[in-house]
Amino acid sequence: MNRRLVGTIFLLVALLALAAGAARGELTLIYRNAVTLCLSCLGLVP
Amino acid sequence: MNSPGLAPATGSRPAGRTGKGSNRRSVWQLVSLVAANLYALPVLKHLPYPFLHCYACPLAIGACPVGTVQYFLSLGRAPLFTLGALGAVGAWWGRRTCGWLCPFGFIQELGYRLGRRLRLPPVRVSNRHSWTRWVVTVLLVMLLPLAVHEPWFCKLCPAGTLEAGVPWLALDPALRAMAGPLFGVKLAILVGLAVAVLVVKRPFCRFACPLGLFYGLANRFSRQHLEVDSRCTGCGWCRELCPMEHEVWVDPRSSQCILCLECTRCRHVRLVSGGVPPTAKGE
Repeated sequence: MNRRLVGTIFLLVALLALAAGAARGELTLIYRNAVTLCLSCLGLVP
Repeated sequence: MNSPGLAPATGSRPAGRTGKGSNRRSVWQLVSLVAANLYALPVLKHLPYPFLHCYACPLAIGACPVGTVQYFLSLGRAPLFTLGALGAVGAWWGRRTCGWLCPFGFIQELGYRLGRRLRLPPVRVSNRHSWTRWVVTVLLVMLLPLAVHEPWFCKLCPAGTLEAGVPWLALDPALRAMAGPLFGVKLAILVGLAVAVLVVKRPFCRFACPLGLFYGLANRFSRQHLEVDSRCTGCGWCRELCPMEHEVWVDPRSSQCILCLECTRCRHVRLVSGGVPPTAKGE
């Protein structure tokens, strides 16, 4: 199949996923995770 | 384009272009490093960076996409927004953000330049071993977060150690007292990588980065990609210029190409943007 067509389909699917994720409130979850200082992620044992 | 596996010829280097692409890319990388750490804009932590940068970094303004994917998988949810955003970037630019924006890639390139200044002998490691990225991605980013609900890639990530672990331990004595054996492992990985970058080109990007793997898959059909013309002799100059040691003449759309455009200093390699080669635009 034409690479350009595959790329276009991939782009459309990606944009659809992006919109679906935003619609179901994923931005709030991303923010909550990003602002929480994860001690285990720092290699620390609380 | 020449057939894959063409043996590099010797002494037949084509005349090169004398662009300032390398300097321009360094400026982009530096601006990205600063912009990714403008803590004055924490509202952007709703959005994942298009490159690997630890969100636990004291100055980070965005969210690490790899950390976010693990977090969603550990909750048993599909990270639609993050994958969609990365997919959209990859569909257009392929792995270009690795070459132009990623702060951790930039740091590794600076390390390699330092190694040249110190006159350390460079070690050439073949990209044939890049299958290790699949192991890292499937095991640490997907399976372990799903199974044990912990972000295991983050627990070992050297970018996180450099950008978050070390700064936090330096800033907060209370955290220092809590450092356990796992931090020793993280630090050992970071030190090993720091030594490796002095002699090997971007080792983390080539053999471990899950984001590079994702974007690399998109390289196969991205709008922007490289093209090698039929006059290429396979002299290997592009591989020497390439910060990923990629053999451009073998596969211009390889998952190892970060579209840094260093190889376009050779007149036989060019960037095709939006599916239209530059000559068709009247270059």
